[in-house]
Amino acid sequence: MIVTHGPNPFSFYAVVLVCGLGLGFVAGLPIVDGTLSELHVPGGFAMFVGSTTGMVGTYLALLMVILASRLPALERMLGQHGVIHWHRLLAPWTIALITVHAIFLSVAYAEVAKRGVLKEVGVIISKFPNMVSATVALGIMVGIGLISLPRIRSRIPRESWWLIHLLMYLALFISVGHEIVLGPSFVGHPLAKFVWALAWLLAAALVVTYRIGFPIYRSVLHRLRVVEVRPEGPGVVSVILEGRHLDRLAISGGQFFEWRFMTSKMWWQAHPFTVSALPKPPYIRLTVKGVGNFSRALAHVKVGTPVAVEGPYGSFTAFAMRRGRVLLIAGGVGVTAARSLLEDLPLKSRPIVVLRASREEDLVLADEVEELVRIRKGVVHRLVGGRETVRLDQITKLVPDMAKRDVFISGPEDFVRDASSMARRAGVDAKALHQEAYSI
Amino acid sequence: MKGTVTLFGATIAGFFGVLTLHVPSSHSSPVSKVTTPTQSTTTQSTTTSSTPQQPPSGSTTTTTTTTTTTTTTTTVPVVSSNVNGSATGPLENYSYGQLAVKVTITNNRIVDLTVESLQTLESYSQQLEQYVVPILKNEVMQAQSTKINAVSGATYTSDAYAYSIQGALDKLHFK
Repeated sequence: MIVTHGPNPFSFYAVVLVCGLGLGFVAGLPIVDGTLSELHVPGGFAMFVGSTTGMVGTYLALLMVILASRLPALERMLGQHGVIHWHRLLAPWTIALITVHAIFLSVAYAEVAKRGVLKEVGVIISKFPNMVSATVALGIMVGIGLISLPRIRSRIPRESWWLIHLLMYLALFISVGHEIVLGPSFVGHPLAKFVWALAWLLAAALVVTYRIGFPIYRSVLHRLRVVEVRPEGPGVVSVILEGRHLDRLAISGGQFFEWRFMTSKMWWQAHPFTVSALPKPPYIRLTVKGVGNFSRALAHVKVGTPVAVEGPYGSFTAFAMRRGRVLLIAGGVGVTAARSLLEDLPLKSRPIVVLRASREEDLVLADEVEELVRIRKGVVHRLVGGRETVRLDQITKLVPDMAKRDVFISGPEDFVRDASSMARRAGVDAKALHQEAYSI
Repeated sequence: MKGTVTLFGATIAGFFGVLTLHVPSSHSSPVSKVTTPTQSTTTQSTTTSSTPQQPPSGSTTTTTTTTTTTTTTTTVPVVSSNVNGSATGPLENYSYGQLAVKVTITNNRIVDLTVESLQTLESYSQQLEQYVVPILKNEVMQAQSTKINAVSGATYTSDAYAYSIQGALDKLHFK
């Protein structure tokens, strides 16, 4: 088994430092390039605002692309939870700033040319170089922003939304032209132009390497195939895969892969599912609850189906531990992460595990968890029943020393949220709180 | 929290870092950016006609705010020797492109100015040029020097234009 390693605490600050320097740099460029000295002329103010928002918005987009590349070092540092958190935090700002950029520059150019704004927009799109593609890109970005609003997104199937939102890569790609050719910060500033182009090329290289290159390499290397689909409980199945060289797979308990089942209907979508048992070469297992179309279809996947993988991802691992003792709280199918994480805990670590389910039959893999905990001299608590009868605050009484433990919480999003606030109320430090939420 | 502080500090550092890297050019340009002349001398009777940024009366006179080499009380520059010929000034980079101006001088008078090389990367600038260059040309012809008012909204272009002309004038030893 290849040894995986956890994040370096200093690297987080190094990354934050670099991100901050870059942000300051792009925010300062419109001042350096002379746009500020034009403030007093017609359209000068709008030009300055438009340039600055464009620079900062596009810089945030650059950070988001790097984030989306799932660079292993970043992935270990932030974890799935952190990656999604930052993605959701940055996305609205990126789209909003770029939209403001377009509006203000249209106004600025209209003021200079002494035309109406709408008329000037027509001139900009038809006469300026690379502005047709930039306008299309803006349309795509705003469109993606709209379908990502929670109210609208909840009405779109996850797979369709995910595919549409990939168009952001296209939008960013086709908008580079107008930045380089028209951007006051780049025209006549070869160094700035070079650095900007280099940063985007590197970001693109990261995405191609880690989102396309590595997954293909791993999939070809391991050649995973379905050997068994086993029902675990109501709507829950385990899929057991067989592959080559699984001893060379660097995976920690609690991590997940993006799985791609190569059937005619499912090959185009990859879905994140936790590995519910660490590999026992030549086998590896994932356990899935049938909530979406895809995970329901998995129950009927044929033996022999090839499976491509991307990952492993996630920092919900034993490496995240800051304390000596552990409390694992698993809601529903979140037991999968707790189950494989337990495997990485040393013997005599005396873990406490809380399994939460609304019905007895929903407690899947409970026997396996009991066994793993028994070997480690720990305790399993089962909390079964509706939300009205079983309150998460009960865990505070079950685990009086919670504040001195690392608390790992896995399960559906709202469960993780509720359990986390319970843990914080019980005095658990943010650094000792680890979350793995499954969005449905 | 430490992360926020680091981010904030680094942003400020990057911001001022880029500013120190390249201080925005101050008032070193030959073009006067003042709209109200501090010292106005009437040129011959011609008034430059089409400066839309300025009121048609009075202020369209050529002015100078700084005098380094020439006295500006007369429109005909003081010359030591008879200058004839033409030269093309250096290619000036400005925010939106490059331009070079060819200057023709006959009997110590600037008689023609043509933009030899214009590489505008921005159509915005192109449309600006179509209206800016004739105005600038007019101003230089009248002032017989590069001490002209920048066309409002086109300071980059005005600067580059004036710099390139000055380069050509230096080549011709025209003062």
